[in-house]
Amino acid sequence: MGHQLLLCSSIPHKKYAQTVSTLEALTGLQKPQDIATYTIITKPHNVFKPKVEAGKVNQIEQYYMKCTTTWDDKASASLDMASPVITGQSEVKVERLFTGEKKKQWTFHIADIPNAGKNAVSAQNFYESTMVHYHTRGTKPITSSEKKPESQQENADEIGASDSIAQEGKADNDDDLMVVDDPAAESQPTVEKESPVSAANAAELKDSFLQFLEDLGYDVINQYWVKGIRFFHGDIVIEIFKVFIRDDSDTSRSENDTRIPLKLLDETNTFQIKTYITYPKGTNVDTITKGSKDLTHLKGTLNNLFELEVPDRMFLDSRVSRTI
Amino acid sequence: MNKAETNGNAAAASASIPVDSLELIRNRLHQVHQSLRKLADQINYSNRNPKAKLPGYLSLHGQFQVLITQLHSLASHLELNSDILRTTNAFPLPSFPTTQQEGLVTTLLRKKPLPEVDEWIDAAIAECNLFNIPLLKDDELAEWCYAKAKQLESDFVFDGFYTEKQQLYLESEEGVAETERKKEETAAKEEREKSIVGTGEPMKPNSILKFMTKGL
Repeated sequence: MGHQLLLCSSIPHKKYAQTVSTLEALTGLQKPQDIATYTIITKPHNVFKPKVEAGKVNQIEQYYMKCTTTWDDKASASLDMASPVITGQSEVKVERLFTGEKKKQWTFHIADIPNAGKNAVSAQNFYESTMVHYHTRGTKPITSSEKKPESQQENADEIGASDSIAQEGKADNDDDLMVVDDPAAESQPTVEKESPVSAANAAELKDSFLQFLEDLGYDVINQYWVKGIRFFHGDIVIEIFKVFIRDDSDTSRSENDTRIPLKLLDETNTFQIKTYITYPKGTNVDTITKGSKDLTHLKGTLNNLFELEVPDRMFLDSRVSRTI
Repeated sequence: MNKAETNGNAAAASASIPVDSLELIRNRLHQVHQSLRKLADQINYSNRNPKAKLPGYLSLHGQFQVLITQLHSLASHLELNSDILRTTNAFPLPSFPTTQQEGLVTTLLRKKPLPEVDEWIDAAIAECNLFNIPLLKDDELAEWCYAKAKQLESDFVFDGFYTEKQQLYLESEEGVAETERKKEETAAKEEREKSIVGTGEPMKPNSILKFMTKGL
């Protein structure tokens, strides 16, 4: 378990250079660290309904889980944050994550809702775990490849993907996770799991990360890419980034290009800024209070550059039952 | 002169005495007298005992200040009551024992300063002239300094962001052309900014966080 203190802000694109220079001067970091991550947001597919009994803790919640890994293909490397991403002009296309045999570190992240009350900074508990995943294509039993591609194809058709994707899906059902962001996809793994035959197959398909998530009891509901830079100021981490999502409207793509086009989540090219300090479990309160003061102090220091604010806790609420 | 008449005269005389003014002045004189005596005592004491030191400079200075204040106050009171004092004539009442107290009467009735006091006054005036402090000139100098300071200040107050040279250049033909070009550049830049930013409102950090939390 960890504890995170957080303040957020955003800056328009034109202030990027100024902000970066200022932060370089402030932190003494000549070259900020790059951030390039790919995140899948998942949701538990079995609803957990504990029997309400007197004298027992009945408030048991289910949480969304974030699975994050690095985004280290050519698109990420060539994407310069200093130049804007303009819809229709700039082209950001990511490689399919699950092509090729690669080792990936995945970080699972479940966060509690931030503390209530009027605080100078947002304080939140979270749980994290990291897994190393070796992707192997493997040879699959016919039964599974018959069963799965079918549904995958449906899925692919639904979102209007080109034929090449569908074929790709048929050939290798592992490498098209990027396509699976349609609600329809969520229902089918459950079905599969219920049948004993496919459960047996699933055991052989354990090499797929998607499969792993399904076995874990989670469905993929969305995905995003984050690209930006990171500064360190004392214990404080300052991140400046943009969030990308899959661009389904992009039709210019050629038949053979299996890469996935991306667009900005916020098309105004606004940069998001997160400043946070993370503490391991059991850090004493004094240290956390000091961290909180440090963050507030940083807020004061950067006041004329951008205004750091406490994010609304309701927006950081990752409990499944709540729908905001 | 019978006794009743004498009493009547005394009453009339006492009625016409400017008691208030005299009393105030007497108080002031008393204070000055006290201060002077104290100062004299101290100096005499140190004169008599060679071992004893004179009071410290600060204490002497303080006493001198007090004395000046007292004298100033006295002078202002004399000035204030000058009319009454000038028109008042002092004379001994018939009941005063003139013969026994002759010395005191002559002292009290004396209107002119003593010859030695006259000498002091003359000496003081002469000395003052000798000093010849050019007070007016001082004022002139002060005025000149003030004007000069103002002028220097105005010389070093800068308006705008250009030096004189740059200002001249900007007013020349080339400068005008350059300004024009820069304006165009700025406009083009703004146009570019617009295409970058797009038309929509930027998303709030909260919304982004929500997306990053729940995918919505």
